[in-house]
Amino acid sequence: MNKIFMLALAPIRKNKGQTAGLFAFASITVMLLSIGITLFFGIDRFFDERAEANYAPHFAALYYSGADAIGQGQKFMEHDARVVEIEKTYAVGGLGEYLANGVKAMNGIMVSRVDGTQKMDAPSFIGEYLPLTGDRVYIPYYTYLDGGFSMGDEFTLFISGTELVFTIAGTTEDITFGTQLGPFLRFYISDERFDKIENEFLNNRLTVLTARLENADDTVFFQTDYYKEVSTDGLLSSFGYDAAKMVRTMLPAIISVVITAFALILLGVSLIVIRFRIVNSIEESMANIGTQKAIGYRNIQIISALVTQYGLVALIGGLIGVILAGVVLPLIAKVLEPSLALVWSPGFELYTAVISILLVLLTVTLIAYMTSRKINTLHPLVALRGGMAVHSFRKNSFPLSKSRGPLSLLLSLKQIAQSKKQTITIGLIVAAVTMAAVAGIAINYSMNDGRDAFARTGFGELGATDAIAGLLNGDDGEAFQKRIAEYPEVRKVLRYESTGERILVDEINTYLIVTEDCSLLEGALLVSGFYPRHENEIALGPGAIRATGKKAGDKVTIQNSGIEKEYIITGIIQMIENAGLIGLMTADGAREVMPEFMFTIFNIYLNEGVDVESFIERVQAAEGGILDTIINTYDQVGVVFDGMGGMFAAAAYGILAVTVFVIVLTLYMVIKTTILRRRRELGIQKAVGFTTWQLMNQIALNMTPAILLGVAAGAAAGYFGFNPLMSALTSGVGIARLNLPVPLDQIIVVCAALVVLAYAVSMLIAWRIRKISAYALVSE
Amino acid sequence: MQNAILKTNKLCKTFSSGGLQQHVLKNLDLERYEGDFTVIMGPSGAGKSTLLYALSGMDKPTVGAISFSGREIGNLSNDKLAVFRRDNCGFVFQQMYLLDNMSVLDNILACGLLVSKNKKAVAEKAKELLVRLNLNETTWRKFPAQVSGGEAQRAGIARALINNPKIVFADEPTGALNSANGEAVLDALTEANRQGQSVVMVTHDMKSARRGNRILYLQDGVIRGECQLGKYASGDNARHDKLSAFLSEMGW
Repeated sequence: MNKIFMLALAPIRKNKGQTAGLFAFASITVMLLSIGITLFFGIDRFFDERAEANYAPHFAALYYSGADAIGQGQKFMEHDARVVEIEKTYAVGGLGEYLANGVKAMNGIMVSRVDGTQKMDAPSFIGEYLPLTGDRVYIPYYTYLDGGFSMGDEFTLFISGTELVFTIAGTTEDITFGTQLGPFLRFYISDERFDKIENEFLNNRLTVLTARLENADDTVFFQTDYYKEVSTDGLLSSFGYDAAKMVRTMLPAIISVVITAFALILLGVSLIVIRFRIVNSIEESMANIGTQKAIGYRNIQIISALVTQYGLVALIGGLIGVILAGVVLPLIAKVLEPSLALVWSPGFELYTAVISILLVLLTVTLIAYMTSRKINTLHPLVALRGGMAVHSFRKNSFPLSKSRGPLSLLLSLKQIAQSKKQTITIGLIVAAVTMAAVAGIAINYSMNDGRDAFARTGFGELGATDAIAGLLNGDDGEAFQKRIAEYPEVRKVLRYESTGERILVDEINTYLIVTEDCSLLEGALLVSGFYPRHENEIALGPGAIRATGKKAGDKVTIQNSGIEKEYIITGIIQMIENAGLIGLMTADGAREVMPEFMFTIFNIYLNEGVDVESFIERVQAAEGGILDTIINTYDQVGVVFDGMGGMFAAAAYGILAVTVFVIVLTLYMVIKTTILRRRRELGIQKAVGFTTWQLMNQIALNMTPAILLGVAAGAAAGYFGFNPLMSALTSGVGIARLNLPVPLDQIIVVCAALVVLAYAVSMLIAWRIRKISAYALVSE
Repeated sequence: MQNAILKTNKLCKTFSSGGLQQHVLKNLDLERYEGDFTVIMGPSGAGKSTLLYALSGMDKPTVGAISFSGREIGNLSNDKLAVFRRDNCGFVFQQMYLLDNMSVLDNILACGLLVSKNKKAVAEKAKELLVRLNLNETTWRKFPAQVSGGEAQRAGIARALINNPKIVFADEPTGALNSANGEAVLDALTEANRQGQSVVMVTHDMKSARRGNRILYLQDGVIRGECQLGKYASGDNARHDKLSAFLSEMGW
């Protein structure tokens, strides 16, 4: 064993640069794998732990106080065997807004008192907090981050258009009502202020029914049964623990998949590089291998030494990677906070570290063993003589007497033609990382500069409108719509309700969107088929299609408050809502199962170039009395994106940085090996008068076709594969098919920069040729 | 009066290894003239090859000056020395050192195209040289590993002559060849010298040394003596005797 270690350690000591490169590959791969796995499993577990610590409910329903359904709901919960505990609390709220960075963000808003008896999701604080007195307010951590607030800052809420100003005295975790990605945000205020507001907003008094189930996995079935038995009259919103968890862990989960996929790409790259190194290492140390064989080392010992050498590199690099993951993970957790709306401090995870290191170690040793097996067939005498001819040149490619072009180029082309495997290897590596970089750029673009397309797909019609107005009373709707349509800057006003109405589709609890005329929709809701036109038609989201097992053209049974009707599925729609368990109907269709249905929400589409803010001010001034709310949807979408955009930008830049690193490292290892292998040839060229600069260019040109082809192939794969990839990643949240714009200009710039960088780095690495003197060649 | 092509002044070359210094060339002063066929002889370790490579700009002196046609080359940068070599020097090595990934013809063209952009002219010149050196067309297309040692060395001479160098440096050019091939190589060098090219050749072989008109004997890094033989003519026995006497005197 000692002999094997001795043989294994000698090349590590000799080739420090190459070994350091492989260390770096192993470290980064293990680091990314470790981070990806920790995010994927860790966040889920962490969220469950926080939910348990806060005794979060598995189901919550918000009703306007006084609704008959509250009694029904309470009774249902009390008699359901799955329920272990129920709770009833009171709040004031409805569709409202809060000010974040000077922008009004619309959401379901409720204010509650801190009731000592509240057990489920009672306020638990992040950081310091002050007692709730006077105008003090506890706000969810999401809102705190979103608005960039500090303790003691002023905080403004709008309920039914009335401004309420508070002072921030603490931030809460709030598992159920703690993120704008969910239907409601909960703010805790002092008893005296609550009493005052409760008396002021008589129509906005809310009752919150919450339930804990024996088994959290029953939530979906419980919800379905709840809607079968309990009327939705007076129901403002409801949702289960799964939905609360999904909206907060969805983006970190996507990012974890992206990071893990990138880590696996890097693992593939590492294996290619290691294979390349071993093949060259065997060629370089052929005489040594011959000597070892001649003095009695067995094949298995020589092979074991090589496997041990690369295994040690993978193991030590992996350990460094785990340490790096420990350093980087808290930074990533910080970036993910706006989505998670919780403070997550991931620590060292033994199982993640072991899985990551084992995966890298096993694959590296396997590839090392498979590559070094050729030693078995090497005769000691042949090895001692320097081995078999490494290259058997059969064709004189690009003969200098006939080929056109500068000498350096022709010599490079000759070299490329004679080392096709190397060219393919580099091309594959560059293609893989370029594809990842392009996907990173596209994700970043879709979540930042090019957010409109994602908004239209992810948020349905919200991404296509300029403003949304909510009325206090649906009876005012028709006249309001007429008046707004007469504004010269208004292009269209569309009745569009998507604020939490729920129905059962084949007994599946489904979120309902209703609009007066689907043909007037401008978002990217429809994926395939047609929008519903008649009262017996419905379009369903991918989640509902999957859950019901139906397809376009099939019939489904819709139930609501004891009414049951059959509808035909006209097509598939998509939107990030309720895991794709969504349905779209016309108003006539909705009234078949909700006879009292009335529009209170109006989408307003303005002419190009109209200042939305000043339009909103004019409408508020004219319609203030009947308006519940009116918001700038671009800003509203912006509030959501601002939180997510940072995460994806960080992921994109991270991927780009690793891409650059991998290309540089690959070139370093390949060029260094090439120079070592071609030492004699380079020396001869120097002797006959080639300058260092000419030889550097020759080597850089050797790499260029592989880089160019790799970058082009990777860019094409990233460009065309981005939308299918993203669609797959977001399918679980309700997206069936994405068609996001991929920023070709940015991709071209980055790809061109990668090629230029690769050439410059190749020149820089090849600069070591200056050290090879012609004299050294002849005197060796 | 002959023009000096190479001149050294107090030329020293010292190698350091493991803290030990080895003075290989010690204060050498010499002058070579255009059209000379200089042969450097001496025992192993005398510094013959070191002197050859210092004179040719392949290596730099530790101390002292080397001028080529009046131009100081000892202090040129490596890249300037490379340009100097391609413009003025041709090299023939004992181990041939042809580039094994290109054909015999391309080996010569790769060197010729470094100096001239006229591909057609360079190709014609290369073919003419190869024919002159008795290498047929089939050989041109072969790779170095596919030709005999003699053929490879003659290809090496063609490469050395492709740019019409003022001087050809040959380091034991027949050392790895059999007698017949060695003779052919020496004939080629002699012919080049006849056509006006200066030659500096290192050899251990007296038969090869006879081709030169000036014989330098180097020992322990210093020139022990010089023998002038005049222009080579085959079958010149007096020349042989004179060289033998000189070498005996030097303790050869």
